[in-house]
Amino acid sequence: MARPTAEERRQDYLAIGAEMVLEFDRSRGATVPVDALANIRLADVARRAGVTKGALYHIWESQEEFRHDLMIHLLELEAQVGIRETATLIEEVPRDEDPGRSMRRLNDFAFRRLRDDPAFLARFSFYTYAANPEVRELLLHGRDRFREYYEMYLRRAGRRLREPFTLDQVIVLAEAYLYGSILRHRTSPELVDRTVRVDEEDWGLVQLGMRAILDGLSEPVEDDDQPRS
Amino acid sequence: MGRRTKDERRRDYLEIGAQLVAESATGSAPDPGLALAHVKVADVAARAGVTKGALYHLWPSQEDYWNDLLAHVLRHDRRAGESDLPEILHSARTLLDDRTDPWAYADLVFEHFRDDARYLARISLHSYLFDDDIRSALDRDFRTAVARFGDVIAEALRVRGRRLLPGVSAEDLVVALASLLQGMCLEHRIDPDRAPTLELDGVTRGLFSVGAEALVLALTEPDGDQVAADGDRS
Repeated sequence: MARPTAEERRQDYLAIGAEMVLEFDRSRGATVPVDALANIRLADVARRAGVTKGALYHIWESQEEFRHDLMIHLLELEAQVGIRETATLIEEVPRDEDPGRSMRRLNDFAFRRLRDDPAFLARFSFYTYAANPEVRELLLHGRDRFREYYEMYLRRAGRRLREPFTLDQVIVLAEAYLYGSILRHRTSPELVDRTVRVDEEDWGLVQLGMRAILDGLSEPVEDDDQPRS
Repeated sequence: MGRRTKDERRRDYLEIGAQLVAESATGSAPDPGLALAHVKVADVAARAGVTKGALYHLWPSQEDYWNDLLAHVLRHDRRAGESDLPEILHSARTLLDDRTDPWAYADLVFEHFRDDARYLARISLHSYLFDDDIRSALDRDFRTAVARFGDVIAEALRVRGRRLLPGVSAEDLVVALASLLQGMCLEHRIDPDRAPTLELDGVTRGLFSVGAEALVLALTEPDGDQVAADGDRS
């Protein structure tokens, strides 16, 4: 095997750092690893990588520089959470399925998948640093992870956005509601994980809210010709 | 002024730490980590104008200081909690007359929280949920807010001639609105343009209240009884 390039080694060390951050919870019974970020030492990463500290200081001049890159690495990991599964779910939606039902399934998936993912939860500690342009840019990563699916819902449900709303605004609201629900769920799960009965169907509160936002900012396409349902 | 007691000094140093945590939310920290983890005993000492030794006299280690600081922020920094939402709403009511678009209230609440550095700093406390004291303190605070705000919502619905759908509680609606509020504050934090104001039928509305309206409409229905009763009266 060829000797790894400097860039490959850099990536390896970051992956080890990320591993250590994400493991931090398990070792201390925590669910989120943020303290870890401040406490991961180059020396520990070196030990786990089986190299000398010097090998890491060759790449990062200081502990702080490493931590900076590690944070970026974590946010990039986070942006990938759920993307592949979402794409698969969208592809697998039966053509004749009721669009409301498909959306519910996808929302349910998004909520359950993200709320327990340490890489996703780590995101919330980074908002404190959003004044840093680089962090801000990274927090915007992954914002479009459900765009395709909102478009699909509107198309299949025969709806279009109401004036003056844009799909970006729908995405911001839906994301805000989903992330907010996940934060609330972490402190007060019983309040958020509620089943409510609407139109003779059981809905999760989160799923119902997501539908409310999509439907609230949109309207049926052919409201003149078709009887309103 | 007499010499401050050990307990007083302890409180002073924790208060300085809490200030540093709140300040870190507005700064652009070059060394990313956690707000709390940034608060070093040395910095607190520098701000207090004492030696590090004075603090190490009270806390044997940096970790001991952090532990107490966390408890202090949770116990004393209630301002950033949401239990006071009804008061904020109440003061908003005195600024606006009753015929004002109710969604203007919603946008006022959003504007209050989105600029509150302490509210954001509080979100970073979520990193410590593995500590049961912290989780239950945040849980308690949220439950208090939900219970108190539930009454405000119930009154607002009554005035507007709407009622909750059967099977939906006032708590559910408040939880949904509070989730949206928290999420929109984060969006605003990334980029204020993500929470823009819009012209809607000639009225200026924030995106937050647009979402809040969608949630309220989806979880409530027109109150037929009340409409009928109002009709009888006229």
